[in-house]
Amino acid sequence: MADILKIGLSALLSHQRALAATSNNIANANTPGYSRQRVELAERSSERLGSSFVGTGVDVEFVRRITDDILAGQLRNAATEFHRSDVFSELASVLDNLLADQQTGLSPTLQSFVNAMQQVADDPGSQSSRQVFLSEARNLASRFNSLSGRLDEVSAELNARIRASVTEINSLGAGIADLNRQILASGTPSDGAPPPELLDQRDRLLESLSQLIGVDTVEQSDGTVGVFIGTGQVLVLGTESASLAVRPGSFDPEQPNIVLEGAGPDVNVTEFLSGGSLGGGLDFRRELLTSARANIGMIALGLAQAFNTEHANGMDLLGNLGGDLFAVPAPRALAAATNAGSSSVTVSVTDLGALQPNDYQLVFDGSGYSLFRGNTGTAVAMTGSGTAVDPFLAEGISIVVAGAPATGDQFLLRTVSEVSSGLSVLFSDPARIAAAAPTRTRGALANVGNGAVSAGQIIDVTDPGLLATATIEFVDATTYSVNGAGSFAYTPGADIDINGTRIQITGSPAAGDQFVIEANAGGIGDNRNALAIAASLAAGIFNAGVTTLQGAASNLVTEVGAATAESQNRRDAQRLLFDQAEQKLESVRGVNLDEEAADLVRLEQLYQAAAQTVAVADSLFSTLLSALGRQ
Amino acid sequence: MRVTDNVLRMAFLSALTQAQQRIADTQNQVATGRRVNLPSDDPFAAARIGELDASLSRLEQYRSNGGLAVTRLGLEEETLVSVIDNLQRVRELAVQGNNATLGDADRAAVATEMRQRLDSVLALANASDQNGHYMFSGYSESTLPFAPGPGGVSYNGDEGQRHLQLSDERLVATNDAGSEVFQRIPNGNGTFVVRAAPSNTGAGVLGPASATDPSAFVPDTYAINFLSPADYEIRDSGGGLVASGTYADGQAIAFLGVEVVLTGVPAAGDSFSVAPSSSQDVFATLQAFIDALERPVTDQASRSLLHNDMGQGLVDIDQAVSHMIDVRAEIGARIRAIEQEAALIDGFSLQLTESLSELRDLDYAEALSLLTSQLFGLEAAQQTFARTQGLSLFRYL
Repeated sequence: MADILKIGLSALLSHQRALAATSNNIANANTPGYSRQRVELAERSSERLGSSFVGTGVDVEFVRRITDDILAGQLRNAATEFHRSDVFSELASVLDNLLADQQTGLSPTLQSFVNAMQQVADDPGSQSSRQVFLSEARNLASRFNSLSGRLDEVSAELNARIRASVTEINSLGAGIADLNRQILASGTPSDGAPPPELLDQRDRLLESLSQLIGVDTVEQSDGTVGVFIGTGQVLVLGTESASLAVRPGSFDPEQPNIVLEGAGPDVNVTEFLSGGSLGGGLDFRRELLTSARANIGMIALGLAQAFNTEHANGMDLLGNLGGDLFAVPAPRALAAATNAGSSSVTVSVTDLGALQPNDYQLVFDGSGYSLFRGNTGTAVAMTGSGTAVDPFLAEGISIVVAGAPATGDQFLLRTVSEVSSGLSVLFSDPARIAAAAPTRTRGALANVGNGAVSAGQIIDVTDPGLLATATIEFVDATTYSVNGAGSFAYTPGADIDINGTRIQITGSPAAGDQFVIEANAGGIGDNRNALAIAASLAAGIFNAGVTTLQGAASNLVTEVGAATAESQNRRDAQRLLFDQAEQKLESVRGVNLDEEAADLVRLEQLYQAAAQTVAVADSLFSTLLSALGRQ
Repeated sequence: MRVTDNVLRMAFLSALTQAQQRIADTQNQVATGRRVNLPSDDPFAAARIGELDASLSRLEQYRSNGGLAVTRLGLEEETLVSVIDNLQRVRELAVQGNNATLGDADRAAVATEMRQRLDSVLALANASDQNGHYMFSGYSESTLPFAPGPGGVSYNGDEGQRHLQLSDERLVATNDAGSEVFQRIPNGNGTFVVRAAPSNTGAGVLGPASATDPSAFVPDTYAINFLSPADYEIRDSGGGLVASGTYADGQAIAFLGVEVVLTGVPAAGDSFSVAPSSSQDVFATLQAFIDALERPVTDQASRSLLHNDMGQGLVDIDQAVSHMIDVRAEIGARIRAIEQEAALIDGFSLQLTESLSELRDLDYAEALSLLTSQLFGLEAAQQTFARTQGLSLFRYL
């Protein structure tokens, strides 16, 4: 009877435990990261009774925490990938939106500007069309400024995100190290340790960490977990955690680096980090933001140079040659803070047709300089020797180096990325728009032949004799002299270049006929240069004269749009994988209330049955007592 | 797979988020009427849309350039029509003034009207366009083109011709320099010009002069000198004898492809010159009429001078009228070219607009049916979730 009582009690206690576990599961059904627990029962060792064994009841062997480390690892990987692409696509869609605007996008603004030039050509003497043109020019410049301003904002937001991520990574790393310490202190697994909630918490922290940055985890034999980032840099090992820090970039404080602080010197891990929202942000900066800024800068530079060059060939209403309308910041060479040598570098853009939309890095390797593209790191071959007379030439830029460099010295060559923010309009006087050409031509009224002279085209505005009057007089039908001197054979329609002006004479001039090139004094109705400017703005400028300004703007839209679309597709695919991984893990560790309800019913019944055995034992005992008492 | 409550919830939430995202996308498309709202919606279409928009805007500018050019050319044409009217009236007056029955006072009256006509032509040549710029001064559009002076009307403009862009390749001139319109007019018959010397005393009056063989004409100034009323000789500018002959009233004097008809009897010592045609401005032609009409006719010599000047003036004014008509025809040709170009632009714009619409605009029927099915899907998901949430064993305990 005592046996029965003992067995009944063991069953009562065990099922009470099991009921408690079920209740705990129900209570934590909604707790994030909770792994359901199950009481594992085991028979007590039986007693020998003669030749056989009799059972002695049931014991709670241990409480099992049901989860799956492999699935948890898969979830972490999926979370890393998903958050990387999520942040990338989120940031990319900011650029996407920026370029989308139908009214204020780069392409319509450029076209309005060219149209305004055409309107000046329509009526060059009109103040109002000139005013409209200047306001379009200012509009265009401020469009470029605001585009780069928005990029700066995106960059600043990105930097804030990087700082916040780094802070969070550090606190998560510290949290994991702390949990490692608690788990280590809770004893060995044989003591029923570690407590499941510590493991749940650690899993949760690892999951949060993997949303921020790609991590590798290694479970140690003592129950602690090691966490590695990047290419194997230690974040957590045992009970110790390292910390990351954000440091200003060696060239640009707006491009901060992430370093791993340790006992030795800080290690720059920026290039090694990948995955998670931090990796996504860094990838966005590397792949899209820098490139968009460089592309916009290149378009701004092309616009300014094409306009200013053509404008210089013209004459404004005041009778002066056209001055620069657009100012752009000169390309800069930034020395790295770590440079030990004393060399200095100057860089300039010499050929828009070969220019690439990226900045460069110039590195001295001890014996010579090498040039690398800033965005891809691809090496670029240079010609020349780097002196002022024979500068290094590569991809449309010219580099002059001076002084003594030290091995490893680096320079960042900002060729295009600062142009857009610095583009400005230099004058506001409408009279200074050089719509006219500085010279004009005429045939003498007394001419007898039917020769005709073209309006003239400026080929060298710097010619000292540009504005001098030149008279071409025909000695006979096939020979002419210039200003009474020389004897030149006449070919109808051939170019005749005099004092920087190119003309053609057609038809059959007679002896004594005169054609005159003279300064275009008072020529306010002349629009030849305005037409030339409009034509040059629509002509191919980049890529060896193939890509126009509009084409470059379209390319930028395509590039950003395609990168955004691709990142969104990747995000959607990763979201699916992430959801699946989460559901898989959740399907193992999560609580099914129906299951718990069934357990509840089952355990209650078992408890009742065990109670009945105790009652039976009691009744047996009573039966025995009463039977003995009657004797 | 074991299904837990969280799995159900997560699956539903994920399905719900995606369904709502899709509905929001479709709704945005319907609201804007555009298939492509962001470059990422269709990167290549977005770039193409940008290019098409820019092309349309450029074409619009060309169309507006063309419109402006037509206005400007129209104004020039109207001005030229008035000039031609004036010149034709001058011609009538000249014929009238050349009538031998008129007295000095009658001729003075004709001269007065002619002077008014000259003023009108001068005013027309100095006319301004709708922006207040002189039409006929070339590039120097704020310089008064024609100013009368002691030596006649002088031109202060230049030969500049402003072109407007009609298309990527085509330019059209929108003005003509005053020197080309009013000055570069050949006098005489276009090959040579015949003049009577003012000192002639005889009754010889120049009749029609024609270039029978322009290629035989050697450009030089020739003098037909009458040695007696019946004998003449022709000398070139160097004094070399070219031809000589006997003169009969009304009979042509011919040399080097030149044929000059004289009527009346010249006196010995009278001379007529034959010189290559040169440019003569229309104001000088008119002024020559006025000068001739205002000279009193007192004797045979002055009468011959009147008839000779008026007769040659008529030749010159015919040249001027025909030159003006040529200029006008040229303007008409330009206007037609602009209109042709505008029609091309219209056709091209239409094509671009269609392409643009194909790329950018939403197919509403498709989008709305998509929206309906998306909403239906969302509703179904919501209902399923609500139903499965109600299924709990606990309800039966």
